[in-house]
Amino acid sequence: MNRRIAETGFLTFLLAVGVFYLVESWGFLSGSEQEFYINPGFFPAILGSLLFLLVVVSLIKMWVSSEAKEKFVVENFRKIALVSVLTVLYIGLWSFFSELYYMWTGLFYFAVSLILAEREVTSIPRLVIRNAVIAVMLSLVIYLVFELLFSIRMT
Amino acid sequence: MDFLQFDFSALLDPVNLLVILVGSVAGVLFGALPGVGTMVILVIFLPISFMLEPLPAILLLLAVYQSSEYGGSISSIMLGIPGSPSNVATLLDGYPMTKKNTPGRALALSLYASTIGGLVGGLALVFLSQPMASFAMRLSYPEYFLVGSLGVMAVAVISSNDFLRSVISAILGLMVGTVGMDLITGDPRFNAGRMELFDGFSLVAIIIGIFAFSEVITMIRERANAEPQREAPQVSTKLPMKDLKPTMKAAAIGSSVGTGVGIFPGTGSGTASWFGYGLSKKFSKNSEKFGHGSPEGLVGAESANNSSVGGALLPLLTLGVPGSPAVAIVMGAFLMHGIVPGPHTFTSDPILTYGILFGFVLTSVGMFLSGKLLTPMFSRVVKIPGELLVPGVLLIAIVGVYAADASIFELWVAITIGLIGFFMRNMGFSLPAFVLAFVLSGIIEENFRRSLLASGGDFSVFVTRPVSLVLVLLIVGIVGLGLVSKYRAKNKPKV
Repeated sequence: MNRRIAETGFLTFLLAVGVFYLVESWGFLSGSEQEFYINPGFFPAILGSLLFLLVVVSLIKMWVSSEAKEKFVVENFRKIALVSVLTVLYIGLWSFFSELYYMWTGLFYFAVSLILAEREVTSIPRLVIRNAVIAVMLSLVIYLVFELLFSIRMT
Repeated sequence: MDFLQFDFSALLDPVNLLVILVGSVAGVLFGALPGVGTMVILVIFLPISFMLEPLPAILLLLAVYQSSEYGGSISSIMLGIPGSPSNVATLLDGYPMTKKNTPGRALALSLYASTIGGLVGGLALVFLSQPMASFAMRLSYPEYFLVGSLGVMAVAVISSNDFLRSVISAILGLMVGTVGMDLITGDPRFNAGRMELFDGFSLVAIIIGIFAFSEVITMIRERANAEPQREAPQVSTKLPMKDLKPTMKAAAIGSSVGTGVGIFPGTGSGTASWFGYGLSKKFSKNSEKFGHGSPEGLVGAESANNSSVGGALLPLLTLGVPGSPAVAIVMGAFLMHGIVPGPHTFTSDPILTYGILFGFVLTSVGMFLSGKLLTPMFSRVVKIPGELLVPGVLLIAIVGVYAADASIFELWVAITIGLIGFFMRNMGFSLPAFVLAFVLSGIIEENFRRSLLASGGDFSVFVTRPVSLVLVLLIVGIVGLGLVSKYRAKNKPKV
């Protein structure tokens, strides 16, 4: 993907955030009889206006810049996407089946560690056993530290 | 209460000593992991600190902060990969020493320099904090607004090459900080009707999201180009006495410069270490050896980055304004315990304040002991493969966010912020400016509006008071200098 396209997308997202924020801020200001500096929308309105202005300037600056024509490469994109999906899945499973928290935790660590293993592996069973053992140990450490030591219920 | 009247038995409580020890060991261990960095370590420990009483909570974070600065030098020296940006200058002379088969000597020098720096920074904190707090008592709303703005602007100027996007980052941080109840009128703002946002976004979720989650994505991304790490040799951290005398001048220069640089908002330990390195070289009789394994270069850089920690704490404890993102995380621990740091805490909570001041000196001792005993062992952690390290950091970050509030909602917030943070990081935005602005948003907005309230809406209140005027000029100067230096760097002919 072209860097210009990626940055335009992100800056447009920020612009949308700025517009939404500004509209909400004006909602406080309009019709209020308070002094402007007491009104809760006063400071946010300044921030929203500044954001809008600076993002527009940044967009223009980016469009005239030659550097923006470079490629926007995210190396290891497949792994990043897989880990992100696994993270969302892990949190989702945790929130719906919280009593199985430690199982999800062990599986999550194990799965992510296997996805990230990238070197030529001479012994796959050895890698699987090593990562599985570490996953179990880490779940145990979380249980000992958070559940037992600090009395935070994770399940 | 004067600091000499402090009851040391409150500080020497076994829990306090234990957290200093645990924080020191953890700081050295995690700091040694390449790419993890002080910020990530601090954000991981922030939720843990919430489970402790205020004094041990702050001491834990300070011990982690202090020791991670030394821990970062381990991977710089052993592998030539800086543990954090503040250890880049260490690499220049530390790694050549390893290449000359003297990694133990380099690590010993680094530990000795870090300890000296930490102690000097700690003593500066003890002796300067009270006069500075007395001065701070005379400041009012306009000055607090401007000091907060100065910190944010200084970080924005320094932390990214794109000043415009750094300012956008700071504005975004301030905007996120406005979510929740208005501090003056009590009106709910921007919370989309969600109860979870009634008090605003959780500090832990935002900080862990922006730093730890975006860092994890970056770590996965960078694994594509990572070279396999070579075997870490066995090392001993015994300092040869013959190295002590020739490096004393560099240690003195680095420590004093680091403390001074640390006090100034926005600078941090990375800038301090370069100043320490540069000035040690300037005043050295053997400047030609710098960059080729010079003990003086290593000591100058390492003593400076540790002494800057003490300096950076001064504005937080005396003005209630953190000057760097790492100190903003420490401020987070104060706020999570319902304590607003500032000059008034010297009288309202003297045991906590003086406990922190003297406890900070003890963190240097903790760092020395853990470094001395554990460096030979920890120097091997640099070999931990990424596929085991990255999911570990990710998991601890997730658990940390949950542990702070026992809320799954905060986890979704942190994940979303982490994803946005990844794009910000890769498009020239400044994450430190975002976080500092978020942490300071309450101080900045409240004091800005209270200044106008007191002056009846007259904006000249920000320039008619002498201290305010000086602060305004400092802000203008910093922004001007930053813009000029960036313009020069951009237009410098490439050779």
